[in-house]
Amino acid sequence: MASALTFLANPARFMALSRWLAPVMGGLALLSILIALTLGFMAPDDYQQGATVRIMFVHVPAAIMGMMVYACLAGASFFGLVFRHSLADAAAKAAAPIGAAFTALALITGSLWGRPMWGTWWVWDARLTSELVLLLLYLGYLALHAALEDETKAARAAAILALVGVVNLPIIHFSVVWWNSLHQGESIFTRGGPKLAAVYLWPLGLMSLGYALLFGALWLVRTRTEVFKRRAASLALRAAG
Amino acid sequence: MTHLHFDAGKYAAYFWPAYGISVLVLGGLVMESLGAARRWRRRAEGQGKPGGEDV
Repeated sequence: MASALTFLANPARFMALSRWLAPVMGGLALLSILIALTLGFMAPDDYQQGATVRIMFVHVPAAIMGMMVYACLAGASFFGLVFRHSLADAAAKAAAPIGAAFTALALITGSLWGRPMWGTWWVWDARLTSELVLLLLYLGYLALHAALEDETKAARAAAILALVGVVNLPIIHFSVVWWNSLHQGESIFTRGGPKLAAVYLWPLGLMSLGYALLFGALWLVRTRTEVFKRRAASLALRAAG
Repeated sequence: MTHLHFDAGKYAAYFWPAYGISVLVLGGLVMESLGAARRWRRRAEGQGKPGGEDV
């Protein structure tokens, strides 16, 4: 792991690797999502939830990715803060809009699922509120980055915010265990294995894989964009000087 | 052969917007990411020529 990170820390090596890896991951993501959609629409209606059970295939992967992307953002922020590596800062900045999009999707699709099942669009319970806090953390991170003109100072301030926000991840995950919630309890990552029937578990697993691959592809593309931005800025400076 | 269940019945008003917004947001994110990458790559290479490397 450490050697892989050291290998990728070299911007030239990262750019060469990401150039072919991003489209490969994007293609695999599309394939995985298409298979998941086919299997998902083949799954029968739930005896209690009817067709709304299939909202799970877009809601749960978005919620998982919202948290996973934040963990990646925090990891990159840590490396940027400790080792002062510009590529780590670029990777952290690149992850934030993707994580915000996944988290917003989790909240919106969750609300669309909650209305017919719970009778309400929103409730201030621990799971929903901590998920909303996650979205606010992403938005705060992006706003902080945008507010400071100096890229290094912005990356440092945003990295500190990202690391402080990590405390929210276990709160989201365990919120349905620690507090009473309208949200259903843990049904996938349980000690005894997933509680879902295979007919729902397969499309859910494949859709989650597709979302993860999509994130990987987008993260690489957006990190490359950050490198291009910095390269263009330094070239413009050199041309002006 | 198992058929595809596209009929969401009385839940269609919740079901289809959930899928629609997912496609819109993720599709938009892909388009925006690729567009920005192409734009900034062109700028970095355009300004860098003739010394700019192709990465």
